[in-house]
Amino acid sequence: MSRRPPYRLFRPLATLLACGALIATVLFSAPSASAITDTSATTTLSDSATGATGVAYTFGPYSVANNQTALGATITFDAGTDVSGATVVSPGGTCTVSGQTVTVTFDTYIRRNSSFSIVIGGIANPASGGTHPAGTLTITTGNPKGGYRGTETVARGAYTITGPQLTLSVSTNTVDFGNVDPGTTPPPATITVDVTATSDYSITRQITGDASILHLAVTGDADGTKTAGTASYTDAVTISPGWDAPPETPLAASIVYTAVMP
Amino acid sequence: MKKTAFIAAAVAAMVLGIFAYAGAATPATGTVTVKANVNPKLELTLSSNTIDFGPVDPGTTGSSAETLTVKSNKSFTVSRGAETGFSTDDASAVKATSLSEALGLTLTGAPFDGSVTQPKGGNTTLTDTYSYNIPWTTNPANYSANYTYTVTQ
Repeated sequence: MSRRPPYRLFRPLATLLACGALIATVLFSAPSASAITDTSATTTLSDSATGATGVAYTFGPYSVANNQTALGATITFDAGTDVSGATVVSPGGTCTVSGQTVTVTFDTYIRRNSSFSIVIGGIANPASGGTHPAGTLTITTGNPKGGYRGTETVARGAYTITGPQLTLSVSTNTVDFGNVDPGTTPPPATITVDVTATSDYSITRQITGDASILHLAVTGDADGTKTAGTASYTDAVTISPGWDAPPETPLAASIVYTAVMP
Repeated sequence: MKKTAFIAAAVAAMVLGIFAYAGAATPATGTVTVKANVNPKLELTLSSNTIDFGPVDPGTTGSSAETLTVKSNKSFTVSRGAETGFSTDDASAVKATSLSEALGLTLTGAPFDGSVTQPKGGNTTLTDTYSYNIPWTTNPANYSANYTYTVTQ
């Protein structure tokens, strides 16, 4: 004659099994989608100029959720970006490079409930400018004690590589000396040339038209090799029309300033 | 297969070329126009405003040159006017009525009658020579007169 288990023992046993299952789920299941928070993640560059080298790319910030840790990251850079010299700047760690992909292992895992950004240095920007759209990178996550748990894909921000910039403007487009007697030199006119350049450049003047008849001369510092940045240069324009200049005839010459970045 | 590879290489080269171009800065330019209107102008300079032969004896000859320098940015003509303003301190009843009569004065120079058009320029020089041949009939006295040069564009 068999004996059935007492009904009064069934309910506590079921409760115990359910709690065990819940604890096992929390401890051993894959990380949830909220292990790493990336809501404000951006990508910033220490130098966004095309072809710049030794650039530090900062991804983040990322927040580690409770009961989670971050052990490292895997970042695939866009084509054209030279990552062969990549180094881990922050947090401390090491990296390996394979193609366009940089795999980072943090020296010390990022603790739960904390934020961090990943800074990869030694990058060379693409040779061409343009906007690089937002994408993703992968964070390696761990349990609260730093044991490997899995990976989580998080967002990274867009960034722009800026091509070389060069602008030039002149303070006036017309210098009119009006009516001038031959054999005289009216007071010089001043031209200001403003230039903004992202790298060293040179300025040249090209004078055409009735310059020789007017005996036009341009002197000043808006000429020659210049260093990168924003600068204003001043030129003085003089004319000394000779007795051979045709009277009562409108005379005109052009001064074309050209700034070139090699 | 080779043709396909060649086309692929050509396309790749074109793409790389485009990227290389995109990375270069376009030269920046600015243009300033300089304008002027030259006035018509004419200048005449004489080497001297006075020719003084000083004391001269009758029966003697001599000369002095007057140089005209003209600056003109248009072609021009030069003319010399007739003698004017003759004066003398000769108190005789019968006396000369002109400098050319008193001094036997003649003027010779590249034509100053306005008949020749000179080219424009800033350094045209013309010479007029004043020559005297004092007649014995001229009373001893001081004589003077004016000659006026006119340049016209």
